[in-house]
Amino acid sequence: MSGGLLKISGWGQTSPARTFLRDAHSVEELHDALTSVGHRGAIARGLGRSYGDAAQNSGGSTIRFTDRSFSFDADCGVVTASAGATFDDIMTQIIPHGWFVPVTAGTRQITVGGAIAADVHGKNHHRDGSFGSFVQSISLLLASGDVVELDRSSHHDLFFATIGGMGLTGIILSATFDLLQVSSAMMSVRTERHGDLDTLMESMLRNDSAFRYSVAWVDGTATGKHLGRGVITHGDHASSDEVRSNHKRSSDYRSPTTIGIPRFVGAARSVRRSTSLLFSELWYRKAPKLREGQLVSIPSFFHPLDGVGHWNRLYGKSGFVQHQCVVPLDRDDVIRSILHRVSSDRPANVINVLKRFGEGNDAHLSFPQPGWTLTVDLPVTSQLPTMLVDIDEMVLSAGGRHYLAKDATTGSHSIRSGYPRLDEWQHIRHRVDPDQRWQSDLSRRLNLCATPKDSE
Amino acid sequence: MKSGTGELQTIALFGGTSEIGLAILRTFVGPSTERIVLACRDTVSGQTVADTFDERITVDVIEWEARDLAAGPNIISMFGDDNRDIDLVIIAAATLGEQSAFDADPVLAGEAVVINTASPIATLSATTSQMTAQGHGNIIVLSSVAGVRVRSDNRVYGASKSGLDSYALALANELDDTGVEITVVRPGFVHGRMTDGMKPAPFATDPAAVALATHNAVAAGRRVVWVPRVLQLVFAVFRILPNSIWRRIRR
Repeated sequence: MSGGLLKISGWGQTSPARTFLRDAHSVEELHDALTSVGHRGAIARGLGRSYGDAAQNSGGSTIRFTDRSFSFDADCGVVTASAGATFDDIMTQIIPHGWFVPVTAGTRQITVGGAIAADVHGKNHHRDGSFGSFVQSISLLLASGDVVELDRSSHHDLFFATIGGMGLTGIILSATFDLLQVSSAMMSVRTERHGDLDTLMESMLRNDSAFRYSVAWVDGTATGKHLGRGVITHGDHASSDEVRSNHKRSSDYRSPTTIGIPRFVGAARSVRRSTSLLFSELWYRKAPKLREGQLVSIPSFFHPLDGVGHWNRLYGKSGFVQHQCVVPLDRDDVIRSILHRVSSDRPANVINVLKRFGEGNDAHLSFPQPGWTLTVDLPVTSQLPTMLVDIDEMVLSAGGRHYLAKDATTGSHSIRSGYPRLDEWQHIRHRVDPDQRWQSDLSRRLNLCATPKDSE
Repeated sequence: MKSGTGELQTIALFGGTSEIGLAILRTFVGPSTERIVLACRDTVSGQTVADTFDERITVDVIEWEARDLAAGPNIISMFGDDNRDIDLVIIAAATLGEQSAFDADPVLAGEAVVINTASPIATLSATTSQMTAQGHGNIIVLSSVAGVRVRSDNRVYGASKSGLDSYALALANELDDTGVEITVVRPGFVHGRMTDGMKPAPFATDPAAVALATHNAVAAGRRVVWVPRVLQLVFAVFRILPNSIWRRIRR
């Protein structure tokens, strides 16, 4: 065990925390680390890719469980991994055997523990659901010091409270999850460019069910009749025949070599603004009107940003908010209004992602629900709070919600209306952690761990 | 907790009806603000103030007597109990008084120092231990240029602010790297209830200007803010004036 009082932050680099950061390499070390936890509690942290303040604990302990081991059954396609195991390591080992992770986020630099705690989703949500749907069982260290095995039949409620539970039910030690069988290490991709939001959304609704993966990049700088123009990428794992007939492309499935962004980068706002305009224009122009059957590697399809180390530094030292919301399918007007707001406020905005979510799951605080999900990167400026208030109001009144793994700015009221099952979750949480041993800056900001009213 | 955009959720104001204190408080109230605590002697006026805030904010008006040195720390300890952090504490309560009244009643003079120095120090002490434990927090201390070099015609008020000012700055040094930041505000003559009927001094200012300057200083992480700024220069000169000249300066 090692570590002292350190300043850490989420991937968005906003609201840094001073916390006792400890590394535990084994379950024994984890128990040791927990003996010194004071009244500010503890929270588990993986690779720090949640954007806001979910994996930090000001004044308390933040514990990294660094056991990265996992075992892989190549016959059945099942992985049992320590919570600290990374998707990067797992993918590197399983892909040559014809398997793939059932869900991957926009980066492979995440841990299994973090993926469960945030119930991460990927481009296949409309077909397959989120990561939690593939988890068979979880081994959870409780506040009492006991370790329980959770699955869909035993401790059913705690199992679902832990999926998407932001680490606030206990420390995930390990988990077993199903893999997806694939016939190659390549992706077969269809790209479509659309000049406005209507045609983009229409096309997405019409075609996405034919593909396992589907996502759209939306130009946040386009206005007027071009508002919401963008590029849809649909993809499937390529068949072995497709790959055999195409030898040109690299089929490297490993994590890409990264070009690092040094700490001092973070250009002046005006430079960032013009860069974002230029990037958006080029990105849109370089996309073909329609291209089918293109073969690309797994990293370039799923994790293009992994090729740029610390890309979060590009937004400057005030950091940025990655705002992700979901609204019901018939409320596409909200998506339009958000894009309108973003494009007219003209922040240096580059990465906006639109996708259709499929059915949600039984986890109380799991983010995905059927509808449109829009992700926008917004650098922190003095105008940002007002803009976010407006956006949040639109989202909540439409029956939508925010993604806790990205949220850095909403308050306790907003979260309550976005997550109607919060009460139920709080009861389960209170039962296993009456003394609030698990706390994070996120839990305090949103008052997630409040004692349920009738339990007082 | 502070939000990712630096918005504050919980703010406490000691001197809950203080004009300057409230003006400062209002600059920090934003969409993320969920709770405000107004500690004041006159809870009826406090409630009137409370009603001016947006109804989604929980405003607690707490009766607080500055001369009771345990009262401030008791209010601060409430925050520790309910596990929600306190993001900003503004210490604004003070009494100006008339030097002639202090000369006539030595107890009154002593009480002014309790209100202006001892009570804020007790509250600061409790606040910093609470905030150090949470690993973050901002504190604003209302000082005055009167404490920078004390004039004889204003010696009780000036000396009491001088004591608070030096304590707060020394405390700020102690809090380096704890995530807790102190901003000491040194306004000159401020038009308002407290100075009603008095002849304004040169470079007089108003609560709104003090509030804006304070807000910017907190955002920039500056420890001392002079309002208006020119007073920093004026007092740089005043500080080195020989006493033979200084003693003759009256307002």
